[in-house]
Amino acid sequence: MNCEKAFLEKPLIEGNKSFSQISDEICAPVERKPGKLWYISFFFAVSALTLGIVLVTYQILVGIGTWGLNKTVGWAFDITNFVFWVGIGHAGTLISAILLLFRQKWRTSVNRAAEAMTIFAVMCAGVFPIIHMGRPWLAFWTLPYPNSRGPLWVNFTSPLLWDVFAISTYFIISFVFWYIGMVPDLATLRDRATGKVKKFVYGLFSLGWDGSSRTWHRYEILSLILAGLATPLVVSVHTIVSMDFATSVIPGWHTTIFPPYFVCGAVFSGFAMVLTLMIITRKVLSLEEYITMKHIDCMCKIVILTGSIVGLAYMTEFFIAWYSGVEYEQYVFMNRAKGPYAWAYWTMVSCNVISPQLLWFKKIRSNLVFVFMLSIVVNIGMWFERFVIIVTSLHRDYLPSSWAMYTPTFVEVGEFIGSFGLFFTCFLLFARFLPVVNMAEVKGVLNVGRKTEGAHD
Amino acid sequence: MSQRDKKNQYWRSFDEKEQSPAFLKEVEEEFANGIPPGVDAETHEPLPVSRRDFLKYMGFGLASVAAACSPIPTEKAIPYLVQPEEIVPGKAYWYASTCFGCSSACGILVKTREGRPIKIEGNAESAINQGGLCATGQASVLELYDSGRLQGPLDQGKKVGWDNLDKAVLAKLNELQDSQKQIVFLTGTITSPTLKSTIDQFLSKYPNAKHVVYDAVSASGILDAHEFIFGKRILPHYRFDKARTIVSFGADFLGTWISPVEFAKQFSRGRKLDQKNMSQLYQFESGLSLTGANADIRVPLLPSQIDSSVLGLLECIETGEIKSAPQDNGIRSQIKKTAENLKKNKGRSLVVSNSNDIDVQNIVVRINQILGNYGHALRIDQGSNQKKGHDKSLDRLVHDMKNGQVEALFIYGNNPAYSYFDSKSFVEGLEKVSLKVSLDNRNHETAQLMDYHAPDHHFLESWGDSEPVEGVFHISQPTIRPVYSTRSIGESLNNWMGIKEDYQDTVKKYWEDQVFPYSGQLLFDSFWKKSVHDGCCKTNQFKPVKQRDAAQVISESVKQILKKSKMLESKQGWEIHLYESVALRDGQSANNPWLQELPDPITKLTWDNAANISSKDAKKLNVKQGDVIAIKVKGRTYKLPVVIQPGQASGSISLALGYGRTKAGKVGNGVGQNVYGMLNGSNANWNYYVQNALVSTTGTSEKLALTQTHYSLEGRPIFKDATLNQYKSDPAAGNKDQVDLVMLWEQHKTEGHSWGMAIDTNACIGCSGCMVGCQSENNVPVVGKEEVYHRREMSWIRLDRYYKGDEENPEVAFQPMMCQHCANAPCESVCPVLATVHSADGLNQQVYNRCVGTRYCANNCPYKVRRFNWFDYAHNKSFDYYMNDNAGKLALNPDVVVRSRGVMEKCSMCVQRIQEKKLEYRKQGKPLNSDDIKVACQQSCPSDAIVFGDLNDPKSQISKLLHKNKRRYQVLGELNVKPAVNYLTKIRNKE
Repeated sequence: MNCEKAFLEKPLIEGNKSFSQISDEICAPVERKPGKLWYISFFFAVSALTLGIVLVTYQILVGIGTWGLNKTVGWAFDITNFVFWVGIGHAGTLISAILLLFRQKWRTSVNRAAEAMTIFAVMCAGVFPIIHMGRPWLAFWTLPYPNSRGPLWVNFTSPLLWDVFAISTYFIISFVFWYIGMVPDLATLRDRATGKVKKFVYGLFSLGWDGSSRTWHRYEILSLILAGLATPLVVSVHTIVSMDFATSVIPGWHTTIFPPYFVCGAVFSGFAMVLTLMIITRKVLSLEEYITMKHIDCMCKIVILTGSIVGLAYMTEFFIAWYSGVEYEQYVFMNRAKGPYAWAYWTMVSCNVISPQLLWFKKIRSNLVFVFMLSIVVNIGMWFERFVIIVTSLHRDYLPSSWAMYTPTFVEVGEFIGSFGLFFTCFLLFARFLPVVNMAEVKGVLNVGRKTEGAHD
Repeated sequence: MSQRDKKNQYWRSFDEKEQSPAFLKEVEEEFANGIPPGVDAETHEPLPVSRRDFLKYMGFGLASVAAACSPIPTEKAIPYLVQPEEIVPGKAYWYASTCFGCSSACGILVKTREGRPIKIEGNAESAINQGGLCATGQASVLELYDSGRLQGPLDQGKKVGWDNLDKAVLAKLNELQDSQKQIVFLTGTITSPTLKSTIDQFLSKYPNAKHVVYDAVSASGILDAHEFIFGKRILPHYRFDKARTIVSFGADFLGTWISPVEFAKQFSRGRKLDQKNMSQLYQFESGLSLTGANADIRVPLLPSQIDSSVLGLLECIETGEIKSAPQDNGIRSQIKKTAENLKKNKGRSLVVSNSNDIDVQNIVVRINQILGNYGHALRIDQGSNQKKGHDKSLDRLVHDMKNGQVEALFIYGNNPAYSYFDSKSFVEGLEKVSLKVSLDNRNHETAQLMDYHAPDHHFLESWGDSEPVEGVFHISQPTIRPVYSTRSIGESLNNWMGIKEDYQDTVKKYWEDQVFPYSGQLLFDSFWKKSVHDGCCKTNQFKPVKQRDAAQVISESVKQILKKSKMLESKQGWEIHLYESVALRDGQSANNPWLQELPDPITKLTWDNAANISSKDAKKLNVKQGDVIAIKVKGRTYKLPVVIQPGQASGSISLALGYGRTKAGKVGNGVGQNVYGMLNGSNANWNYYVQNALVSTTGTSEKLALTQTHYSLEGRPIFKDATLNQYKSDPAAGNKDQVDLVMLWEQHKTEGHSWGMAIDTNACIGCSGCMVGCQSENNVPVVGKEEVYHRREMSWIRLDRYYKGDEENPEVAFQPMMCQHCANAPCESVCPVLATVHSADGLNQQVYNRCVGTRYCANNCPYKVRRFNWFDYAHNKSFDYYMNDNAGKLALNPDVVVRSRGVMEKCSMCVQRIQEKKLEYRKQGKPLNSDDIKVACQQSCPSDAIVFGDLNDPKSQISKLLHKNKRRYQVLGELNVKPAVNYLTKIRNKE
């Protein structure tokens, strides 16, 4: 019986690890000096970030006119990037919260990095709504607090304001969840630390963790509560982001399907990004035994599922446009497929609908190079999805007299690259200074004491 | 409080001891009389200092104490030592005057604030324009503050004092006293009778002096034909309102021809639907003009076919048969129909042509004579002075100059070195002239070649007058002290004649002698005062012209036309049609950024002139929009980008004049191409149609700054129209799909007033005057070619232009589009910071100070009328048009804030004008008559297409207009955004 089970279910963590082995292996990248690869990556990331900072400064000094927007297309790269990054940020919470509640044990070795990715992605996302403002120095006006400007209150009917709440809530909860989950590991690092400074810093952040059963108990309870709090956020954040469009009157935006469609799209792109990062991380940090092929396989399956839902949503949009009989709506969708931005639309369809279908094949799912490439393709596709939704709907709306084209400028492209710079700078620092796998939780899913074959005694 | 406590308590009053409820209440409140509010409880008037104000003063006091520690920057703000009697800060004064933006000489009202003119509007009292004003006229206020104007007299390019200049010029003039060589005064059309007589007086002192009048875009042909037939060189005064059938051969009388505002006013009167007969307009032309766009029946034909078509029309009217007109494209059948209609409306029709060929104009005179239109729709006993140019005399002058027969040349109001077709000869001739004086206030292409510059005032700085039509007089009065050290031309001439007289007195004297006697008034003083106040007066002077039958004298013309059209038939190559653009006209105002950025009503092109070609020809040449083609005319090659223009006659290319200035100023230099050189003018009057051009592609392309790039309505029910017959059988024709939608929630209620607008697309001719009116009123910035190319023009009102049907000859629709002030405004609900909100009286308001610039409102606007400040447009060297300029800034309206970078803006329905009238009425204690409020676009409209007013007041003009009006519709009404702007369907008078 036991043998059979062992045969059916591969252990989540391979290589018959002992507890101390896990601690050693996961702490190793933090404790040793980083390799050449890390330095090279960090150099590129910081360069991209610098480019972004320089361009944002220039843009704030001179004006939004440095972008390619016009009277007809008021949003393009800015909000596309915003939605793109928010979407990427989705997988982290989904893994940590929903999968925790569903007791998906395989999540334990990927959740830390996924959550970190969420936080950095939300940071990148948060930059864009601020810098896209004509007067970003007044961005704090979007916060409702008693003030001396009239008092100037905010407009609670504006989806942009909902965004402010949704994104900030999401960021705070994700951050707390991530941090709390890290406390036992920080304590481990503290205990292992040799240098005084290290000991002090890790000690400070491990909040006096003593490993007693009381702290563990509190920790478990808090994790559950936070998971409960974070779960609705997985749905709410992208629902609200989608309402930026869904509540408008612009054909192509004014769609009730947007909330579920956006949430699925976000999970889709989020998992693609987790795949991209995990495949690199496990290789670079030699964590193949923690982040196993099973993890990759599970995530690929989620990508197929959400990718198919997204594909269905595309079709539904077209059907409803035809079925509604609204000529403006119909035009927008025909224009997407056949108009001047058709290249973007078909890039989106091939990346998001067609390419994930390849993952039905086990062979492809277990080919890391292929999965890696696919995960990037999906992310390109999801970026284009937002671009298509935003630009093609705006550039030809109701009155043909105002129809216009949009072309990005160097500044916009550079700022987009800069956001990747910010993301990877943060992620590389994370990989350097914090344990990328949740040691405490991984230890919990080892088959220790169960006396199954291939497990430890 | 327990009993024991109570016992131990000290008490101050019986109330306290008893703990009465009144006492307890009193104790509860911190202040005995409540918190002092900001208003008086009884009178509801604000207290002198409220608590809030107190804190403000306190803060200010503290801040100023702190600020006193550093030196206060000194600014030159000097208070009035003696307050000028008439100037009240914040109050606008209006002066009646005359517009000299072109030679139409419309009556204007000049709005001045704190002693500076800031806006020009049409004078409703004027018999010419009757309240409307064109874009060029309205924009001319900006030229007053143009730092590119000459700022003082020049002697050989050096700055001198006026005394020195006078001395130098007089010394030269004295030398010429007895010269037998010519002394020539070369001017544009001068409508001012006083100036004309001053020039005559000046020239009379010299034995061989003459006054040559030259118009860059000439009507010499009409004048010559009338001289030939009636013996008097006169331009008829056209009355388009008196004609039921109007036939125009190439004359763009609604856009640029002779007196467009006046004609637009007349035309729109004839197009009213409430009268018995709506007039019908036939247009025969090559390039699509504004008039052609408004024509009921438009016949596109080649320039070379127009002349014979005129002849064909005459034949058809006379005999019922056509012998001469071109055979192709059903032109003959159209002419036949036209002739039938004309014959039906004898005495109530009008045929006009812009041809500069005396033969063609002779035929036109004949046609109008047969139809009995003289004395009705065109009058020569009270003729027009708006075009006086004589082509031949300039040709002769150039010839004489080259032969060294001209000793002195004075130029004023024209620029032949730029606009004469053979400018090279002119410049060569000029070198042989010994005294060259320019009286223009710009150092333009011709003025640069002159020795002396005695710059004239801008017309807003000087006294003057005009007589655009015989018997109609306008006064022109200064509205500001001269901005620069300029001097009025009249005064210069007076000085050079040794007359020490203020030009104001010269004008007054002329009026006393020449105008007053015919005015029917008793006292000159009161007549003068009234004229200056009204800006205009009418006299009952008739100068009857002996009627002569043209039939006997036109046989030669018929032969000539036949000969020419025979010749043309055999010729190959492209035909060029040169036209004045609505914005820049002949190019005189090229340095005006408002006009440069005003999109052409038809092509929607700004900051450029382009080669308009038909799509058929574009395919033939294998070029697309923006590709540069090389046009070779008379051995010279012109390279222009292509605009593919629906309605353009295939085989022809239309080019706008007025571009390609080299010495216009910082704004106008190098914009577009100068195509005046293409004009044909060797032995007859200058011809604005050129044959035998060679066209080749260059393989390069240029950016075209178009404000609208999509032509078609895509079948959307945005613009609604019907034919007259459909309308007669059902007034709701074309507007059947208008339904009132249900609201899911309670409607917002407008209290008191509810501002709204009605736009009659049947009246709107698309002239774009409203765009400049709005720009001037609301400080709308100019953004330049590059930014317009990026689709970032800032205009609050735009004219959407759509085509319908056949690409070769489409129906054209104009739709003024501005903020619709929706009751359920999609922009309002999406702004996160409440920067755009609805007022109680139905306005959608944009609060610039609150705006953080998310642009969500603009995205969510179905009409795309919101404009974002992508850059700082004021005080920015990159936008050096007028807001970056100390002088140019004076043209800004102090009632409207100049918007900063990063905020959204849009039409406010001229809220400052609403507020002004509200206050005025409140002061008088009367209820507001909303018809008294005229928003800027409405005011400037020469065709009265825009009505603004209170929708809640059943007596207002707008309520009456819209009440049960079956033509009423709202653009995108199906979105249920409930716009406050209503449109009325266009009715076309055709089958």
